[in-house]
Amino acid sequence: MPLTENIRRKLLLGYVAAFYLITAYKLVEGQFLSQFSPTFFQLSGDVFSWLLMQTGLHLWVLQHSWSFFLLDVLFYTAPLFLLTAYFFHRRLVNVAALFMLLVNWLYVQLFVLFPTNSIEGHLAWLLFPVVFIPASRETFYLLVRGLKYFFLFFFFSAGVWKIRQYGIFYVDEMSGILLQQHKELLIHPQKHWYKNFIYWLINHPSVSYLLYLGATTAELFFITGFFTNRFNRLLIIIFVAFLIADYVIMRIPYLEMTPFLLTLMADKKRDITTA
Amino acid sequence: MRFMFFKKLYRTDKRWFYVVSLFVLSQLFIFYKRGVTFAPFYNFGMYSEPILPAEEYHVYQVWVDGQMLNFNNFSPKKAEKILLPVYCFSDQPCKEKFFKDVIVRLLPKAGIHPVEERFLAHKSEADFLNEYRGYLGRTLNVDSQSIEIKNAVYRFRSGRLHFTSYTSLTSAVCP
Repeated sequence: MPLTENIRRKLLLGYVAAFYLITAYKLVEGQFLSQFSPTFFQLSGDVFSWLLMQTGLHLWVLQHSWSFFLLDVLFYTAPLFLLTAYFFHRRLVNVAALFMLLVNWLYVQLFVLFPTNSIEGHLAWLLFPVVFIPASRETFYLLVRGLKYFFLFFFFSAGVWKIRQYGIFYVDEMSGILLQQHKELLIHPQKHWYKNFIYWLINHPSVSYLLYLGATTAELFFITGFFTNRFNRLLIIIFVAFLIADYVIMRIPYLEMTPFLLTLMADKKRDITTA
Repeated sequence: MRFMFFKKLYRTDKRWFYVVSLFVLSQLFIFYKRGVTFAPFYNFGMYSEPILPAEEYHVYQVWVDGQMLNFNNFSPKKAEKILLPVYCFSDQPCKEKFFKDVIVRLLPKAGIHPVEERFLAHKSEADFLNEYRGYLGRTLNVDSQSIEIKNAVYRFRSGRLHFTSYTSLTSAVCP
């Protein structure tokens, strides 16, 4: 039975909605490149970033501060081109998707070369545009499934790493992580409920370890998504719980991973023609 | 991953089948090899190695108008925006070591001869502090002349961090 266009339309609208909700959050938090106006760059362990650095493009960007604004405009308007192409010039969708893919790569790679953020949280912007490139609905749907498998791997492998690197075998692990993560907050002499909460967790290693163990178990549970769609809703709930816990306990906002949730929501069965 | 997926993709679109297969193999290779990464293939091993409570911690304090900033009152993104440049600056000696030990050794194997000034910022402490004051002044909307950064050493004793001394801004220990 052939797929209808419904699933692609919903996914595109979902992606654009998520992108602009996150954009609003970033604007408020001063996370646009032009709001950072960085003054120097950093070196990472990513070979792709080395190739970019060898071109000297990041130095040119630093020397021409107006280019921060230009990059922001390109990155934050690219989804609008895709949306316009989809609804008014369908034949240009793949061109618009390819444009968005190139802009996202350029923007994210340059953004993380400056002291702003780590690249792993931006993976949705690097990969998602790919699914909108093929014209065929079948290929589109298979690429969405491929992206879902990547998302599942992302989480599942995070759980495997905790076993592979032995972090899971130490009861004091979470206490050590909390000290490392929050040391700047903990040293302030003023009283604060959050500081007390983190100190409480640090000084109750069994409780904090249970959080670590719970997170690892949740990550490992993502393997079920490779074999069945039955747990998709549960995986969505786990992911949202993970996002909230990461924000509250670790103060890591992983909002930019949320577009991947769309791959768990895309359901072929509800979007096929029976004619 | 279900092999049905690859079978269907092969039948539907061979070009995308090869692209996706290469993607999967590259990701698995990076996962297997650990070490360096190649976008968009990363290892998601954050907080997976043993990180146990240490005896001593180096903590950056940011002072504005003689008051230490209380990061409990900042959103995570704002706190990161304030602190990350300091961490990046203090990490410079380690990045220089990484450049000499890894990049200078690896890139020539691909016929690329890395230009040092494109990889290392070589920022002096005076230049960094001058620029950082301007950056932080804009970020917090405060007088940039009143900004001070200190690298403080704390000891973790009796369940609390206790101040012991101040040290230089770049006293990072490279892994």
